[in-house]
Amino acid sequence: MEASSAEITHLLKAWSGGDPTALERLAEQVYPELRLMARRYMKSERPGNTIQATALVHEVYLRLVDVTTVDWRERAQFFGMAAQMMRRILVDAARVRGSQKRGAMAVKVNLDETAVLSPAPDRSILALDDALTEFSRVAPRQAKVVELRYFGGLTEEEIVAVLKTSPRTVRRDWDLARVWLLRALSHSSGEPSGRQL
Amino acid sequence: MSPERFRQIEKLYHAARDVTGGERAALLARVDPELRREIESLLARLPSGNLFDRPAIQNAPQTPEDATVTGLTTGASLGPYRIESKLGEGGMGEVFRAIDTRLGRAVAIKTTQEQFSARFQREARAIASLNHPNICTLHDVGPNYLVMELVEGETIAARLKSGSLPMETALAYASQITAALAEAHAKGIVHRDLKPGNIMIAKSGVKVLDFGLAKSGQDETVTGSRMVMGTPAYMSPEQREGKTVDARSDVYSLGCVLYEMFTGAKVSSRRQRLSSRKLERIVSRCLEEDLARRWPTVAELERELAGVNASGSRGKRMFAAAAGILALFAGAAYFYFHRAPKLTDKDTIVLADFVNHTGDPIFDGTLRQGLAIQLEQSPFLKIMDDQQVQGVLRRMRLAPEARITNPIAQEICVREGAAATVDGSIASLGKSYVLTLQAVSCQTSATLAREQIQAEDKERVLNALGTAATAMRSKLGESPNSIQKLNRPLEQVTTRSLEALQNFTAGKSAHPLAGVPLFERAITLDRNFAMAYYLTGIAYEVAGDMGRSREYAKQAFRLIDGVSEFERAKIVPYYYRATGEVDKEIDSYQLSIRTYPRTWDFHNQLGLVYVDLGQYEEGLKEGLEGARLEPSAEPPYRRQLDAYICLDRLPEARQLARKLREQGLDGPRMRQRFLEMAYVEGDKAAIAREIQWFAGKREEYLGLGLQAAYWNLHGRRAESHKLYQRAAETALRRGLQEAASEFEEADARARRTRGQLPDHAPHGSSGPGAGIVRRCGRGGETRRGDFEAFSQRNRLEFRAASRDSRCDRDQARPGQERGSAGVRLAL
Repeated sequence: MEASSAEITHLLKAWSGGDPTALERLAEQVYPELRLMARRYMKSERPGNTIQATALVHEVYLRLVDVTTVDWRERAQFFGMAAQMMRRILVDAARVRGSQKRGAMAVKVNLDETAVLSPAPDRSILALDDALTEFSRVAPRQAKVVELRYFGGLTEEEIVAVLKTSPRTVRRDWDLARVWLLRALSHSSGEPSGRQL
Repeated sequence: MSPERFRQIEKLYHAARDVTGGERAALLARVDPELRREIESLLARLPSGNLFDRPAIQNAPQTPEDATVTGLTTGASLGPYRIESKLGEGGMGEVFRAIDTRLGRAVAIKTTQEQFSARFQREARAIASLNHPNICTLHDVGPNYLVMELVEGETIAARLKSGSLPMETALAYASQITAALAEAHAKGIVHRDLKPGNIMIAKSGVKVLDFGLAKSGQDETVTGSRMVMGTPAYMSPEQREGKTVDARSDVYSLGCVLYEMFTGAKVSSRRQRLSSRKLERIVSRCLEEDLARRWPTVAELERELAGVNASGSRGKRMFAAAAGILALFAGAAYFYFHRAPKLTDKDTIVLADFVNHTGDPIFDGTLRQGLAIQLEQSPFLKIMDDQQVQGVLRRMRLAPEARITNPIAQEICVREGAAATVDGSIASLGKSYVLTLQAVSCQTSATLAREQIQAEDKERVLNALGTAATAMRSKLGESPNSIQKLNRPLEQVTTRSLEALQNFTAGKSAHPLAGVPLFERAITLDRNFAMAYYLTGIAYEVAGDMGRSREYAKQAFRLIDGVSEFERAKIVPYYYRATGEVDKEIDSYQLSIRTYPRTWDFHNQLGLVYVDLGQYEEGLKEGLEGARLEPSAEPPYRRQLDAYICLDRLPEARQLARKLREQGLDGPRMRQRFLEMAYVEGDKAAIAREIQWFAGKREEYLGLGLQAAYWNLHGRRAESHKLYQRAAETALRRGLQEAASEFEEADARARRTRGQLPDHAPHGSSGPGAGIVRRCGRGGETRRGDFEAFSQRNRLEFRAASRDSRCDRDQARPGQERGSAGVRLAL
């Protein structure tokens, strides 16, 4: 079932206007599209050549929503939702890959730039997801900033709009959240405790 | 950890982040050791390159399963297909010759760079079901490749490079292509990109390739990108506009292909008639802009075409003969517009404000201004000017500075009998921006043209706007020749700085002098912003500061090589005006009029020069032309009024004045003329009425100055002095120092010459008209007479008084109406 952009726009507006049932139907339309695009991106041998990674959420927005009738609040809500979905998509993908390769990889989480290109980041995404969930318990807004920026690829201004806060707060949240999570990840990788990575 | 503890850490962390070195150490030394360790461990993580530097998806490794095909080489296998050789490469991807090892047959494999969308994969199944001798069969569909029947031969496009086809051949191909389309349409498949390059000439006949592969506007097909992709020359109007297309879109493309096969030329806005009347009828009905008037089905067209086939040999002779005639009389050959232009050069358009979805105020107003600048370059399009728009807004009981939303633009368009509105929107998309322009007929509500364009970043928004506007000009019916001649990109000519344009836009809507700081700011941001210098110069001129005005005119003129033709048409004559080179000013206005005959202000300005020079007939002519072009603009009527008065055609002057009053075209500048006419005619009631009108208005000083001059003329020094003082004060309150000091000077002059003034009433013995005529004339030739004192002395007074509101559409006309031109009704 593919809804037209008018229907999707309508759902977005309904949700934004306070109808919670619209969210579910909206998500039904957006999630598969976003997943398809993400998968396509991940499959692409030359990332950046076809779709800009950061633009996935934007692209899905442009494709599904009639941008000419949507205001910035509705757009922000859409982006917030899409970023959350991206997180789920990437974590699910990593989980699938992890199960496929179970045992083949050393349990090692590398966080520096070079290691990012190794298969290890599969695990780092899972570990990060856990750490982020943990973090959100004490610092919900800061965790949200990470979700929006790291998973959703949103810009600072867009995050400001989603969270209805100031650019300065977003910058500070991001600054702290990063070091917090990096520290959490390094702890977890150092612990041979069998923690679910 | 508790949220409270986190907040404690957070606070301290940020405090520590804000300082460095010793300060940081000192700060941390003050807190308890556990908290300090916490902060230090966080600070130690301060990243220099880590996974957060790029979005999660880029850190996700690529998945190996069902990868798309790239870099196929000879000998490689793709499922059951073995690659033999590469046949070609195109925009979408590559084409290989391969062998289907299961059947041993040769196939063509076409790869694309992006994966097919799910929808296309479904559609492909339908396409694969097409089985027709003139359709290239689709055998198989992969994630990003198609396996097709291998057709060897050349395309019709390649064949057409050596000229048109023989009539019989063309007719044979035509019927085969038509048959292929009829078959596909019967199965609900639209080709979407029919063109000579997609039709192969094989031994067995023609084969149409690539059914349904082109992307269309509304729905994603091949790759899912929502873009209009196809070949513009062969695209139907609805497809170019990005609308959903149906089989009738193919009919249009077929018309283009047929025309090209029969004539060897591509369809263009001026196409020749086909030799055979029947063929002409078939093809022109394919090329109808209006869907409803096109052939409803290819099947019908096919039957009609069969009729032409029967008389093929006759058709051939006729065609040859006609071609010969065409060659002989090439210059006089019969051309006509195959597509009715969307607008004509008689139409006016209304620009709406952009809908700004970005939340970034820099685009507010700026984009409409940018679009106006870009479209103004076109002599074809006439944009309803701001004055007129504000007039309508007033009548709609809206504030003159109200946002011109789309519905308001439509309303203005209907009320003023304009043809269309152009509205736009901008949305951000990550770092990039999507701009949409749309022209809508306000009579039929039909979309005349639509453009969507993406700008990679903010710096490229103006550039993208320019590109979209140019495309719009073409879609609205302007000839390519005109566009080519008169179109320079916004960022090259006006400014490349959005912020400068923003200040400029704000400056334009401010009252002249209030705009100066904004123009100055724009100049600081872009030293080469010629129009900002120009408008600053105009503002100073309006304020009577001729020295500064000249300086800015020079600055604007210095940058003349970098401006658009339309900007040049304004700046050059202004420069000559500022430097006092009247002949050159006239020449340059005449040139401006030749380039932009529809711009009323150029006529108005030229009329002003003529009136100043005492060439009233010419001045009247230009005033009439300006008013004809823009009946709602006041300035051209001032030219007419001045000319009538100076030509001693008072009845006409009175009649015009009455008409202007009725139509509400009676601004302060006009009222000034009315007051003077009243004085001249000694009409007490009229004098009182006009004076009353000025009371409390921002231009009150104009009326006061005029009264002062009048009383002075009548030897009523005390009243005159009082009025001059009041005029000076009022002008000063409006920030018009120059005008104020001229009132002071006039007052001083009046004091010096006290008692020597001829105490004549303004109406002389030979009637008021005669008196006025004397006051009109070249400065150097002032005649002595009844009106000399009134005119010669008061000219200055009036000149000062008259400066403020002659700012025309864009304040292009300074307040000063050529004081140098001497004794005329200097108002």
